[in-house]
Amino acid sequence: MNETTSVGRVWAVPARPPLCAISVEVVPVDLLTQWRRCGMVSDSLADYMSYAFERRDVARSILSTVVNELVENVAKYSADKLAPARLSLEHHGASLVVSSRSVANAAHVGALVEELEELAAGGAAEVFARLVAQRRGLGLALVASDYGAALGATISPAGGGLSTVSLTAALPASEVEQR
Amino acid sequence: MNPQKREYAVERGPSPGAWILRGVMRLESAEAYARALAPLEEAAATPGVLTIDITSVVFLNSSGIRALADVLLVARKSGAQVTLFGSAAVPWQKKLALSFTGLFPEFEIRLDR
Repeated sequence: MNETTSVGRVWAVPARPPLCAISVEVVPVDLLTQWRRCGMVSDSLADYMSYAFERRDVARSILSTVVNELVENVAKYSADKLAPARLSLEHHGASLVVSSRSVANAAHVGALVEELEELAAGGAAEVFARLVAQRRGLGLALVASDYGAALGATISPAGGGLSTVSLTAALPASEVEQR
Repeated sequence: MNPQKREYAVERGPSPGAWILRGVMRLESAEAYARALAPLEEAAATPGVLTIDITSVVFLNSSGIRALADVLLVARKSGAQVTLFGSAAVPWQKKLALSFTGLFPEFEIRLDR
C-alpha cells in the first residue's frame, strides 16, 4: 500500500477525551517466548478498566476476552517481532474501544482487509459460521459476532513492503456489562 | 529452566463418555489445542454419548473455541450424541452457547444457572 487507507468500521475518535484509558507497549517477541504474557496483558488492561463498571467481574471477563484476541494477533502477525506494538483500551461512555498498533506484512494486511470488509458488510455471524466450518482462525469474527464489536483498521506504509496497522474494536458498553 | 505448571486440565468425567475441562485455556495455536484435546477428539470420533463440561473453564481464547468446534464437527461426522455443559455465570460461555446452538442444532448445549 502506497498511502494510508481505512477499511471496515473504523472508530471515529471523538473530540472529548476518554472517561478512562490505559495503554501499554509490548515487544511481540516477548509475547511469543512466554505466551502467558498475552493473558497477563489482557487481564491487566481489563482489570484496570473494570473499575469503571458496576458489574465489575462481568466487565473484566468480557474485556479480557476481547483484548486477548488483539494481543494474540499482535504476537502472531507482527512482521518485525522486535518492533514495539501498542495496545490500548479506552472508555468513551457508550463505547469501549480496544486498539492495537503494529507492523504487518502484505500477506497479513491482505487477509485482514478481506475479513474486515466482510465483517463490515454486516455478516459477522455468517463469517463466524463459515470460519468454523472451514476450521480457520476465529479471532476477529468472534469479537464481532459474539460481542457486537465494530472492527476497522487504518493501514499506513511503513517501508520495505510493510505496513503499520492500527486496528480498533469498538464495543457497546451495554455489551461489556451484559445488560 | 523450571517447567511451568499447566493452567488447565482435560480429564475424564465420572461416567463413560464424560469429559471435564478446567482452568485457563489460552493456548498459542490450533496445534497446541489439537494436542490438548486429542483424547476428546478421539472420543468424538466414536458413535455414542459424549458429554463435555466446560463450566470450570475460566477463559478460552478463540483458538480454543475453534478447537472445541472441531471436536463437535468430528462428533457430527461420527454420529455421536453430544451434550455440552456451560455456566451462565461465565460471560463468554453464555456467548459460546448461543453461537454453538445455532451452529450445531443437533447437539444439546446446556447452561446452568
